[in-house]
Amino acid sequence: MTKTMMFVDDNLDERILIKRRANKSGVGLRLIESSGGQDAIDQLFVMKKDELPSIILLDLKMPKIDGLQVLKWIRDNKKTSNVPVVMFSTSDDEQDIANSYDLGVNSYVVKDINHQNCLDILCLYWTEINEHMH
Amino acid sequence: MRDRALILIVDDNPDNMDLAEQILEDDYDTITAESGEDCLAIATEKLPDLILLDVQMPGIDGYETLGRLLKIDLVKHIPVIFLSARFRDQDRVIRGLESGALDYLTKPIEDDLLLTKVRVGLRIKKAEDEVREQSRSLQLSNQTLESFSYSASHDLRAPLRHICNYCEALEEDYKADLPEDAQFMLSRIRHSAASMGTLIQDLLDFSRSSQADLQLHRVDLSAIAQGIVDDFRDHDAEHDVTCHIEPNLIAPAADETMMRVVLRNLIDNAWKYSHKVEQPEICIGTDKQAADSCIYVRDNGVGFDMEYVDKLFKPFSRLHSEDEFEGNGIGLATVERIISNHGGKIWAESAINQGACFYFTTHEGVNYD
Repeated sequence: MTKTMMFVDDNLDERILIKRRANKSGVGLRLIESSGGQDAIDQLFVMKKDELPSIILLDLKMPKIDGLQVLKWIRDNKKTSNVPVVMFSTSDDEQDIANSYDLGVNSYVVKDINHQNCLDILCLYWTEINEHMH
Repeated sequence: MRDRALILIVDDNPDNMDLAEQILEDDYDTITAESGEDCLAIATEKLPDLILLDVQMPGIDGYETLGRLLKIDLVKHIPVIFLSARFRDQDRVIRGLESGALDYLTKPIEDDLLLTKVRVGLRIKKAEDEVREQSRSLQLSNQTLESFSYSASHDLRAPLRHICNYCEALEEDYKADLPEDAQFMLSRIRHSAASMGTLIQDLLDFSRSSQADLQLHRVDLSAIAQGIVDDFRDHDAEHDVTCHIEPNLIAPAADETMMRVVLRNLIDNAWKYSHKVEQPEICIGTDKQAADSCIYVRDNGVGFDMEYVDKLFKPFSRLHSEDEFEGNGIGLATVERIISNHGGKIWAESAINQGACFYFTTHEGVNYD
């Protein structure tokens, strides 16, 4: 079964680079791209349960509906509540991290300037969760 | 600001109250309260410029009233002059002044003395108000500036990361197609982006270093230093540095995150400036010979001219050219700010080509042995 990753980021460059890295990861991911909080919710809303992504990579700071609000929607919604979500953010603010965990994020990864392989780490993490789930 | 200052007279005896009002009414507006409880309510409502407070009253007495006034932010800065019926003994006067009163008067009230003390009291209040206002606005503009530089540095990181990642992508995907000089230029772009990344990180550290709320705990400096040295070895394996770290260097009350920044910068310096010597060596320990206990970070690198020691801890000032040694001159400024925020001291000794030694304490009178 092909694994699906949804990634939500309002920044085009971020999406281009995430997409490139994910395609190179060798995990054979199917990608769902989303350009913002509302768009992510809209996409998830119309998906059937078996169409849901295996993991969601969520940017924290986005205009209008931010990552925390999307996360809350995902957790409050019966259909999506069990989808693993990784917050992927430039912010290393303790409050942001604490808020994300309070709302039920599975992991919080800081996008670091010298940390270009964080996506590889994510893929690894994601593989692990999936093994746990099956 | 009122045209005429407002004086609150608190006395349970109407005769005393009338007398004080008569003396003051030519120059000031007056209001009155008959008890300590009344005084608290009226003071909070009318915010007088000065309070004349009788010491002996039924209910809560003058001392207690003053104690409660001082606990209310709105009124705690209003000067209070005690009025006491009899001058029984020195102790009572001292107790009054120590509990926070500006001055005291004994009854029967003398006109001139009352007027003079009130005038002085109002003058002091005015001066204090001005200072408070100034320091408040200074603090505010400082905070604005700090938070601006923090967000600016922070927001610069995302586009920079994109530049780095695109360069990496170009190198990975098209390296074979690029002529050699194009590859060189690409590597220079990456290099510049990387130094900008370091600069931004250093600026962030610098702007965080002034944060007042330090989390003080017992901090194992040896363990932190060892971790940092291991990190440096991982990233710069070619630079073979011998490191001696004294075990169990404990700062009894310091902020661990901040101490990490301090040690990282000092070790970074030692690492960098010992790059060109044959057998580079870094020592970290306590100085037992020194009069005050302190921690040192010493290298045997190029050192610096003590003539410029004053410039060492100033932001953006550098003692070496960018070509000789990379750097942006923020690291030591950050270290200095963190150390002085802790209440400690930092200083350095060096001579050209004879290494450098940085000493610091995490607060005054601390003992690391």
